[in-house]
Amino acid sequence: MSYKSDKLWENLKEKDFRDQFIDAHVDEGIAFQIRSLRNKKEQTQPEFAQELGVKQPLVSAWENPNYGKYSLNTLKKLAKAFDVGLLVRFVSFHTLMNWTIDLNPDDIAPLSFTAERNQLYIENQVNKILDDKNEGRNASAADSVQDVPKYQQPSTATL
Amino acid sequence: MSGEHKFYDYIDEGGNNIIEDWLNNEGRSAKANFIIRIELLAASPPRGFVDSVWQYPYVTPLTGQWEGFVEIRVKANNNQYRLIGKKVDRDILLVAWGYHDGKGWNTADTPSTAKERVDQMLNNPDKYRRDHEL
Repeated sequence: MSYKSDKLWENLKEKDFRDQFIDAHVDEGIAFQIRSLRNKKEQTQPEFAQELGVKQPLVSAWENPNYGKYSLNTLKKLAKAFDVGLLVRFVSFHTLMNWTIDLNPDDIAPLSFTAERNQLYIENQVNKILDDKNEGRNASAADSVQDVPKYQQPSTATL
Repeated sequence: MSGEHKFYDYIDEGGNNIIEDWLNNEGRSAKANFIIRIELLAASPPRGFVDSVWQYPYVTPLTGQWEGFVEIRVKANNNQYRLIGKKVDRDILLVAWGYHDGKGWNTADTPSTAKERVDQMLNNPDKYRRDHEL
């Protein structure tokens, strides 16, 4: 465990802190994710509210860490609007802790399915180009071995 | 922390981390919220992206006597807890704290104390500055 994990684990030994940590994780985390994901979608609160068929003040409330009254239906609706996955699970405190420290921006505002698919497509294309290039290099290396007069080729018996 | 922003605590003349001390005592009931808020802010937004989180309700720029400072405000147990810091590029220097219990504002720090601490952290980081403690 890192130094930060150790420190957090020490705090979690207190039941009161663990209880607060659960509340804070949902209240702070969800509000922050909604704001970040909406920003990634490049929509204003009124635009996002219109897409979901709700009033703008409700979007503002969802993005406030003091709100803390999300229903599962709201979370599912939001995940669909952002086109991202949603995990609602009971987990160990270690799992919860790992999601809290050393975060990356993509943990907070994950890619939408379309963006994820495009990224995978690009990665596959790049890998294919690199593979083709390597195969070409191997093929030309094999050709150069074949070009060597037979008496200079290594004997398979020695390999 | 991904390194998008970095938080630092003020260390006093006696070598005490005043932010950590406060979070472990008067600010204890808001500590979980502060930990998560700070970790989220530290990772946001990626360089080059439009910022939508270094603003209300996650961070509030202060005005008046506290002009130039920002506060992270957390509600816990019907009290409002605040950590006050100075944002210098992508570093946040946490220098003061306080809470409102419904009756009055409680803090040991004044704007001039906070400014003095910022100067100390900038001028002598080895002595007065430490990575933010959880």
